[in-house]
Amino acid sequence: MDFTEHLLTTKLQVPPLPTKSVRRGRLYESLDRGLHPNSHLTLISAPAGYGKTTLLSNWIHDRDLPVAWYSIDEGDNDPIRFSAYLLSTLRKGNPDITLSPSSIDQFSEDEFQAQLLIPLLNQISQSPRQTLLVLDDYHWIQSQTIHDRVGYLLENLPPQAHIFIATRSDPALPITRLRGRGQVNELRLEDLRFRAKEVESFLGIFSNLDLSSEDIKILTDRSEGWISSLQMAVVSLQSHEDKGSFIRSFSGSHHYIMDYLLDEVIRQQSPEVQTFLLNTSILKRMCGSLCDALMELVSDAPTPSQKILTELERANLFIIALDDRRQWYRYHRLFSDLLQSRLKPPDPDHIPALHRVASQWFEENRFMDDAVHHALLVHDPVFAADLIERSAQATFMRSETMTFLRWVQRLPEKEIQRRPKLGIYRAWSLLFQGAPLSTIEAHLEKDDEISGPPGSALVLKAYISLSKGQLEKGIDSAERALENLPQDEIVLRDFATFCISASLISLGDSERGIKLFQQTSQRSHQAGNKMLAVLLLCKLAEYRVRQLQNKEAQDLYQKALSMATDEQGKYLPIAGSALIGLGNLALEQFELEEAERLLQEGIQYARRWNIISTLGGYLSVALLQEAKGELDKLTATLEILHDLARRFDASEFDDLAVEIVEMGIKARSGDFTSFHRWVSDWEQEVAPAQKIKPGLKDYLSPRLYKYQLPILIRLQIKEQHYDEALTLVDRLCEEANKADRPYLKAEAEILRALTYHRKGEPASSLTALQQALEIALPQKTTRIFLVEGEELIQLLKIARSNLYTHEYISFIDYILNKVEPPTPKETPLTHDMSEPLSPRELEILRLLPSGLTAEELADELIISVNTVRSHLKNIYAKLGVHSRHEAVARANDLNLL
Amino acid sequence: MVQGRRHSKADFYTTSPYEIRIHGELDERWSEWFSGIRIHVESSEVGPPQTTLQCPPMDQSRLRGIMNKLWDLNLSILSVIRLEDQEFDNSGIPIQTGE
Repeated sequence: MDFTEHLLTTKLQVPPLPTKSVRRGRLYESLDRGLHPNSHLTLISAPAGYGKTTLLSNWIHDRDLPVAWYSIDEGDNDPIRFSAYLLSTLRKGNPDITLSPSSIDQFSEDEFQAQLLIPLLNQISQSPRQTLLVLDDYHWIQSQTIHDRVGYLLENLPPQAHIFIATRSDPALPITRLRGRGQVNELRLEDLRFRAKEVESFLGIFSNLDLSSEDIKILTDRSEGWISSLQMAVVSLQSHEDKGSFIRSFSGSHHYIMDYLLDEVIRQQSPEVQTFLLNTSILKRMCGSLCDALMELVSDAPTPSQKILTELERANLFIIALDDRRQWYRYHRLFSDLLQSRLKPPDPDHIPALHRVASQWFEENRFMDDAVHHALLVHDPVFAADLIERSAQATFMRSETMTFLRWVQRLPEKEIQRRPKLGIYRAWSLLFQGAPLSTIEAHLEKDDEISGPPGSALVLKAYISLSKGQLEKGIDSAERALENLPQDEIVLRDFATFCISASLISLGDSERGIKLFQQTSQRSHQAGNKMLAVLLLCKLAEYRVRQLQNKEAQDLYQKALSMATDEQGKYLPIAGSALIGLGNLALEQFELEEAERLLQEGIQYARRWNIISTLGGYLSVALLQEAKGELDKLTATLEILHDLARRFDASEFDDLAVEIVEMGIKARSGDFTSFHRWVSDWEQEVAPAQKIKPGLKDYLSPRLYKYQLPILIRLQIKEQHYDEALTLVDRLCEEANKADRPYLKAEAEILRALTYHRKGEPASSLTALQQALEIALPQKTTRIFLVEGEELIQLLKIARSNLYTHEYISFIDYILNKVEPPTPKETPLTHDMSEPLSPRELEILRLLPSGLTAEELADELIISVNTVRSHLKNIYAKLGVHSRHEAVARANDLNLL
Repeated sequence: MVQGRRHSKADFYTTSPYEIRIHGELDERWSEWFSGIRIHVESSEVGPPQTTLQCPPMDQSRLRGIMNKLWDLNLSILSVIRLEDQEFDNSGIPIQTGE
């Protein structure tokens, strides 16, 4: 599932035509002007309820215009979210636009312009099609960043594109400047008011209303052409015998028109429905059972609410169904405001009591976010804090830590401090949010003074010690925590065990550590602690990856991913860890598109659990961008990485990891400036402080030595110190063997091959390369070969003609196929095919006659089942067939097999 | 529109009472929904009535929230005046209008 698939697609559809709406011809002409080549912006600005959306959707339907529609709501005031929707809808609205929204969160503003807006404008201007973008309800946008982006588009729009903005108030866009150039087409309040003729056709839709033209004129004047009030008037009129006298009394009143009309509407309802309307108006959304709970407070024998809801919808009483099953509803916003102004409680506690019942209902039905929303409106901090405290453990088990933090932050500080348990969980979520360690430790110290669940603060201390690399201290805290923590503190106990096992592995006792990981993961899973069960499986997988057991790692990640879902099967935030892991495996196999998709999606989820856990994802993204040669994007990603590492101040290790990846990438492209800078910083600061006599080897941190060696070797090769380079290669091999890192060994052999090649010793070069191939072959790890560039490709080609083992030859072909088009005899026939098959697709196609299942194919090729399925889909589409059987037959016809 | 003595910028970070005048007659029932503003209707011999909304001391962002609510109800604003603290009755205690 792609990030973009989470975007609710209904937001990107033209709203369906209301069954009872008026075609407003005179306004159509105004809208048509918006399609003039010089018209960049059509601004439709008027308060709520003047029919802006209806006008636009009617016009689009009647004119049959292809359009990119975007209905903005409260949650969209976020540049990443907004831009993702914007790109998605543009792609839907104009098929020539192909930019993907997947990487937009990585850009700074300048880069956003260079990387996205300019290419976007280019695609728009190169497209023969008209691009029509509608931004509905733009008033929700307050972010200046979004205004700047939209403003940039507006100012640079090609003549075949037009932006329509519907809004309640004028947006902070460069409208004056555009107006000066005559590029703005405006429809304002005055234009949108319903004229008498339009009121007449609107009323004409309701056949049972028989009004004189005099009555219509009065209605038009009194409503000032505000369609919302006319809709409300129709509801009243329908049940009035003497319509004329109702209209006259209505026009004689100076009351706010909605007050007047609402009184009428309410008066016409039975007392029971009146009570229902007023009391349920506090709900943002409602269903029968929830309304029943509320109504029990005010009535002894209430009618089943579902019946009333259905009745209200039938009577057109400003109620909107939220789903097809007619289970959830909400009131029209204005109508619910009006009702709430009427809700005169019998006693001051009545409204809080309603919210209390609503909160309890939502909690019982596990809609925790709604439960907290209503709990906070009870204006009883104890009630709200009780709920949040009660749900802390369950929310963490679901890894929804950032949601939890949002709840806690709405409680008064005094209430949190009275509750050490709440304080502990807040400290954890602050840590995961990337808050400075000093903040968290300050919280902890305060919480220490009060008796919380015994030992709970120790767990967090253990976790922080682990991050700082103080392993023994961490184990000690965690063990003491486990002695004291009650058995039902599952999340905290599991965290403690996690700390112990992770420390054991880092201390070199992998066997015990791994065993503990496995046991804990199983126990967590049984106890419902999905967060830790998934996290531990991912850690186990990581360990497999280090040993180059990619297949085992793949299985573990898949298992973790299938665990990381909620009741509806949607991914929980912790799924991000598994997705990032799978992305990393795809990257090593040089399945770049698949890797990018997985990594981006993983990062989106991971940040909702623990922002620091996105670091691993971004490191892989950086390597991916190196592999794709996307250097501008790479710079932006490195920026993000440095920023993340700085934020997480518990550890220096992450800062070093980022620096090493950066130095490694740059070293491969022959740029050693950052390495030299690093060395000189070290010489000036670290070495004197630690009284170390500088020697090249000593610049390198003992923990990271093995990762820095390759950089050093590349430097020696560049400076043509081949013998030094070979000595260092030997040392790297030693380190790799010592730490059991075959992957590093493969890299060492590749570097050895390159060194001998430069040195003019082809036989030794070939032997080294063969060593590297041997290590990489079982898992078909290809990235390490392909990032070395043209020189290594040439070496591989030499090896292909000098090695006689079939296995090596086909593996080299496999590697080369990733970057080069297949050799002529393999080029698929392109006639009768819309697009040639990719090498991977050909590979799968050739396996089809064997009758392997998708799962078996996935195993065979070491890719995920989903990837196999998506390849199959593409193969079928390209061959124009619908089944495997047809595909094989067609492939035979085309001589593809 | 600012009345009375000149205000320094710093004043705007603190709260002040405000008076908002709108077109037409708004029922007092709305008082609570607007979180305790006081509502007066002023009839006039010549034109349509106007309503003044007396807002207890509030900061600019709450004021803005009230203006947005007025806008969502499609009420026309005639003027907004910042009052001195002493010009506001009840010394700024929000008025309870529960019947």
